[in-house]
Amino acid sequence: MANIRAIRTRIKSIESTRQITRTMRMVAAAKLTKTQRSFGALQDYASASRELLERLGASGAAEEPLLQQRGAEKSVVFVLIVGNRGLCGTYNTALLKALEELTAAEREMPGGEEKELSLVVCGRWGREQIAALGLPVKRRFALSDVPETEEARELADYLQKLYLEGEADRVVLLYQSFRSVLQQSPTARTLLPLELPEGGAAAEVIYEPDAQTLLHLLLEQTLLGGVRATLLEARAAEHAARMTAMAAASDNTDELIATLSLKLNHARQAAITTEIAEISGGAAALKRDN
Amino acid sequence: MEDRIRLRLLTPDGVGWEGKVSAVTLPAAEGSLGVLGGHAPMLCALNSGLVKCRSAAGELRFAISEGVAGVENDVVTLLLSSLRQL
Repeated sequence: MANIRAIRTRIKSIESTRQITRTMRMVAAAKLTKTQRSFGALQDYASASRELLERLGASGAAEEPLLQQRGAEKSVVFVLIVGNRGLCGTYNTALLKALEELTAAEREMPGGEEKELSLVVCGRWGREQIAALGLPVKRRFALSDVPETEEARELADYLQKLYLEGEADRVVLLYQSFRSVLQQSPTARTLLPLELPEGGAAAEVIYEPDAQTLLHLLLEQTLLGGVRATLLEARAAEHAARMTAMAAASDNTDELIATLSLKLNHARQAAITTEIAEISGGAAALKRDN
Repeated sequence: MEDRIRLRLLTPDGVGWEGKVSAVTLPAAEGSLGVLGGHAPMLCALNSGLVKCRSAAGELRFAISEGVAGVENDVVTLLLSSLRQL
C-alpha cells in the first residue's frame, strides 16, 4: 500500500512540473513572436540606413573616427549578450565556452605583450560564472526580454564612447545567433570600427551641410540599428532555445508519467490479487473449520 | 498640386508613417528646407523639430528628433531616432 501512495505522490509532483514546463514553453513562444516582430520592423530602418550610406559613398570617410582601423590594437572589449535566466539548454554555457576560446586566441600579441581584454555584459544570467572567467567587467546592462530601442541606444552610446575615448580599440559582439527555432550558434561580430558598405557614391548628390557630418550621423544610426538588431536576434535565440528545452522537458515528463502509471497499475493489481488471495484463503479456512 | 513624393518616416521601431505627399518641409541643420516633386538627389542632416507635409488629404505635422533625410527620384526617406505625429 505504501508503495502505491508513494507512486501517486510522485506522479502528482511530475504533473505539476509538466504544467510549469508547458507554461514556460508557451511564454517563450509568445516572447519569440514578439521579438521577431520587432526584428521585422527594424529591417526597414536598417536597409534604409544602408542605402543612404551607399549613396554617400566614401565621401568624408578618411576623417571619420568610427571607421578608422587602429594599427596597434591594445585593448578589445567583448560585449557578451547572455540570457536573462537559465533553463534554456546550452544557450549560456556555449557562449561562455566560445568567449574562452576567443579570448585565448586574442590575448596573444606579436612581441609577447598582452592585450587588454574586458567585458561588457548584457543580461542577468550567470554573474558568478562570468566572474570566474577572470576578465574585468566594465559595465553590466540589464536587458529586457524584448529589447526596446532605448536600451539599444544606451548600449550603442556607451560602446561608441568607449571606442572614441580610446578605452577600446575594437568592440566585438558575442551572442547566440538565431539560425532557426531549433538551432542557435555562438557568433562573434566586430561592431567597431564600422565598415562601409560596398558601392560607389551616386553622382551629383547635394550634401546638406557636408558629407562628413552626414557620414557621422548615418554611421551613428547604423550603429544603433546594428546593436538593436543583434540584441533582438540574441533574445530571439534565447526564447527559441528555451522553447526547445521546455518542449523536451514536457516530453520527458509525459514519458515518466506513463512509466509511473504502469508501475502504479501493477502495484494496484498486485495489492488486489493479494487481498483476494487472503479473502479466499480465509474463507477456505472457515469452511474447513465448519 | 499632384501628390508625387513618396514620403517614408523610419525609426528603429518600424515605419512611423508612409504615404504620398506633394510637398515636405524639413528642419534641416541650417534652417527649414522645402522639398517639392522633382527635387535633385540630396542627403540632409536634420535637427529635432517639425516636419510638415502637404497632400491632397490636407496637412500633416510630425515632431521628430534628429536624423538624416535622403531625397532621390521623388522618394523622401527620413531616418529618425524617434517620431510623433501631431
